[in-house]
Amino acid sequence: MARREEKFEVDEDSNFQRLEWKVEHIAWVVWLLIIAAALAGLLGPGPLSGTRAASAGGELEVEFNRIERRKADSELTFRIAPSSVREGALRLWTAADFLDKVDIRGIQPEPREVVHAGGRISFVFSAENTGATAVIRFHVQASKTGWGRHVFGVEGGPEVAVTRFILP
Amino acid sequence: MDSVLRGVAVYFFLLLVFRLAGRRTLAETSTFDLVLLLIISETTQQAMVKADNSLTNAFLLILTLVGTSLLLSELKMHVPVLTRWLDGLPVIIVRDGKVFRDRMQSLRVDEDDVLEAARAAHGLENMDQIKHAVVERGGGISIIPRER
Repeated sequence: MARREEKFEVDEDSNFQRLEWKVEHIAWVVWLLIIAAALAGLLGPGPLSGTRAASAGGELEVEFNRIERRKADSELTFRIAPSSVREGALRLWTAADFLDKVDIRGIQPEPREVVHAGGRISFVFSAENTGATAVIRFHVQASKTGWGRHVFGVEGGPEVAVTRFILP
Repeated sequence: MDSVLRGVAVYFFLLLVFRLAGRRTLAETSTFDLVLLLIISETTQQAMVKADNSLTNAFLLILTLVGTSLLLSELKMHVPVLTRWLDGLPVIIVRDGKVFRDRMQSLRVDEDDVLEAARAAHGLENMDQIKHAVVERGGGISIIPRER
């Protein structure tokens, strides 16, 4: 008489297991896509993220990343045509709410003074019109997630809008 | 508030990642796993603690993490489906001496792993001496030897 098969009590479920492995494999593909997106610059600074915006006449140009991360260092680089220098100064302004969305960690070169007036902050730099383009670099950290639109302008001159998406 | 939310977010993210990576990823702390663990803990620390190195923040985070873990185990007691999804189920890879190679491949377990477990737990010498082998939920391999 054949010995009765003892019950081997393991709580397994091959259907569930197959589902689990399927989910795993899908997840791996998603991971690859996420890493590829990050390399391309869709999840922060990278080749597809870097861009520039210029005013209509090209006197004011900003270099920035379309996609940035909250609380991570980023840069806004302004190139300002020499024609914008007035009375020994360059005045770059932005809306006062800029400071609600962005922490300014440093400005190169340092502005001579910062003037708060009429809902705008103006950064005043000493300058002479020698015919060379002025380069001003803002080292910033975004403090709010989501779309952020900032308008920059040179006093009495052109304006340019910068739209960035800030990831958490 | 921020650190509690960060703690919970990191906890669930790591849970998800390791669950999806498969149970063998951190099953036994081999050299590779140790490296992985070290790098991940360092990376995680940056995101969780941020610039706040205060005791308050550290204590709060510890409470959050242990609390989340407690809450999950409590939930698993009451909702069995959750256990499946969070911990998975054991998988039989050898049944009555029959080896299921496809399952072993899906679990990234090879014959050497099975033999290693068999040697360590029962001093077995070859596959023929194994009656059943099961990859447990934690990724460890249990061996039931054939009666001699």
